[in-house]
Amino acid sequence: MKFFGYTGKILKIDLTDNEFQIISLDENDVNEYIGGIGINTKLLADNLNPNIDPLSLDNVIIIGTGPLVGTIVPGASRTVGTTKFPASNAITSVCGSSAFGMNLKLAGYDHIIITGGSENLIYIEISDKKIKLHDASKLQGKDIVETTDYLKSKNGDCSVITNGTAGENLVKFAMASIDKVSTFGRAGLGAIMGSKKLKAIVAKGKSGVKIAKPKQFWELYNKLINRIKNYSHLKEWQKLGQLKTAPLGMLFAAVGWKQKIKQSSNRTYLKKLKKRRIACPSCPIGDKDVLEIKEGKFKGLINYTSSALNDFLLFFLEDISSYEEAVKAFDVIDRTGLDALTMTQYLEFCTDLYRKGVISEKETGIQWKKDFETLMKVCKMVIKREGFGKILADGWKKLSEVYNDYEKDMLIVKGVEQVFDPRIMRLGTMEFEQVVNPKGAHVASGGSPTYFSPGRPLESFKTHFYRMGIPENAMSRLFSPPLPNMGINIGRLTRYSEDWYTVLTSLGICARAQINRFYSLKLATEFYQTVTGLEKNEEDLRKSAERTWNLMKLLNVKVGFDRSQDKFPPAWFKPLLMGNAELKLMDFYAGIEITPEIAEKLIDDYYDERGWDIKRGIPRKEKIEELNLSKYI
Amino acid sequence: MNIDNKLLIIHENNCTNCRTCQLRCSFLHFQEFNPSKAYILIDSTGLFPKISFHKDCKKCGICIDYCLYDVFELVEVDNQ
Repeated sequence: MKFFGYTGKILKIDLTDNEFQIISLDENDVNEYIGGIGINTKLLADNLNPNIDPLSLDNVIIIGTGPLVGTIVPGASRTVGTTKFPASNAITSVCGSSAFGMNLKLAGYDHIIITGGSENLIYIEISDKKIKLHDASKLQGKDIVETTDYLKSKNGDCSVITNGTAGENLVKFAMASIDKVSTFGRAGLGAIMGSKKLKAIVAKGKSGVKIAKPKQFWELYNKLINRIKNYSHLKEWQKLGQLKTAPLGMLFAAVGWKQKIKQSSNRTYLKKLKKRRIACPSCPIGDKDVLEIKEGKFKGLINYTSSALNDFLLFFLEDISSYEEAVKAFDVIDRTGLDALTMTQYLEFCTDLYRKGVISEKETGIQWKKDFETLMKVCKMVIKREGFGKILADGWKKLSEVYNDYEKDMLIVKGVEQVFDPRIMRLGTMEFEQVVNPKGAHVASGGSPTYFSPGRPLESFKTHFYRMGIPENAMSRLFSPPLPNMGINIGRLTRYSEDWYTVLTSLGICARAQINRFYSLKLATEFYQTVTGLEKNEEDLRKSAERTWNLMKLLNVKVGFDRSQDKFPPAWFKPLLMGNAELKLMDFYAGIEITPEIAEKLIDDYYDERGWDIKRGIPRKEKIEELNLSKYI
Repeated sequence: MNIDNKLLIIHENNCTNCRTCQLRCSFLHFQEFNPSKAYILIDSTGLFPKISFHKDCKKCGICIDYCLYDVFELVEVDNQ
């Protein structure tokens, strides 16, 4: 079959035997799973034995992209990685951006399947001219920036996925990175690469992406890009990136951290740090940051980050109060492939244990404080797996085995620390989805209008619900929460947040709120039709997303994920003390405190909306048959 | 570079490397999205991108029209 949008080819690489195979993209897979996260999940289901150790050579990494990537469709730049993750043991997908997806298409492939492992450190070169495994011994011990710069200097215009020293040393939550600015793979993709002795993947090529219906495509594109250009907040977004969306100053003011307000302000960012912005291909927002510390003890430091906001989130550590320390610490974490959220939560948790006398300096080698110096010492011991750092390098699951009595205080879901604490932003879909996803706490797939403007009027939601493709017959259920004053049923809405995310991530469109707000299921479908020439309708895409999500769940059921693990962390039901403030777990409208009983009811409702068995939290036989997934039981 | 008797000023520091100009250029002239065929050239190996034009550039200006980040500015030139 001649494809438009798709390259029509999958590359399979066996690192053990240094063998390559080019497989034709299956027309039936395109029909049922679209691409991106959908076909990635299908390929993993067909190539992975679920019950393997994620850090064994039996694990498989699928990296893929969607049919709209490589075109000019705004924000269509997603790269998806699908594998079994060591920190959570979940079989799931992670997303990154930058230019890897586009370069993979230019090299001539939609997806790559990586199996086995090498004896010596290698990197893979994928281009439209050749596929080659190169010796990477000279990159051993190099950080993400050093490795990427080296490979770009050798390969010219290309894109690079690499891990840092944390991944090389099998730190179980180590991430990979794309082109220095896009983190890729919470919960251990960097460690999986390390276990395979795979230092990096380089993609490049000159094979253009052709589309099926250019005339209709440009009509759609021009209309959309004009709407984006005329959006009143566009210039502010381009100027401030993610800082535009996060009210850090307000939050710090509320909790009485006055010094941090100025240090994390837009003025500090613009006057003292901002060097330049980087955009993923075709993105009108350009929210990746290059920062430079222009004065003080870290003068001259250049930090590549997926957003300056991530650096500023280190201010949540009690005793980090200067932007220089926040950026320096984030830079160390980012270059080595550690996870900033894990490291800051480790510091919070271990310092609390130290203050209670549960751990000592003798035992850990550290006088625990929530400050810059301690954070740097802990990063070093984790990366090198030295002493107490060896326990921390094995992740929260190991820590909870060793300090079992304190597991109840850990802010983790399925071995991964929370990204969104509902006591800070109230219980929206972003917060709730961390609980029901086998992946555990994460950032991507729970997006919905509840992310912005807590407390917005109920009637304003419907427009967005229709935009996300939520069917009319679900509306009354979405507005029927466990208690009337809660307004929206967050449990039921989460099913549709996941499905909308899966549509976007199958096509390759960024799910970040600043991009996805310009898309509807109708528009996404129209772009799909004009790029590929395939006559799929909105319902087809919606169904494909549901199929992908159910397949992902079925794979995880095989490794033991069911309702028993979909639990709110017990600590969420206790007040969060921040500065002078005491924050409770409240519903989206802040009128009702969420009790364990309400939480369980929301989880019931999520399963019910998915058509799953409520008691077991897994897909019913009827749902599996409806989605043509019986062979994966 | 001159386009329609106007001088093109390039603000390279505004460029985010989004490639929109290259994607649009390559599609207009070759009917495919392919940065390697674009007449506008972006060297992104340094801290800031360097922008130049291929010798075969048609000076059609479509890269300017589609830029999302105010990289290009056309200035009237007084030939007097």
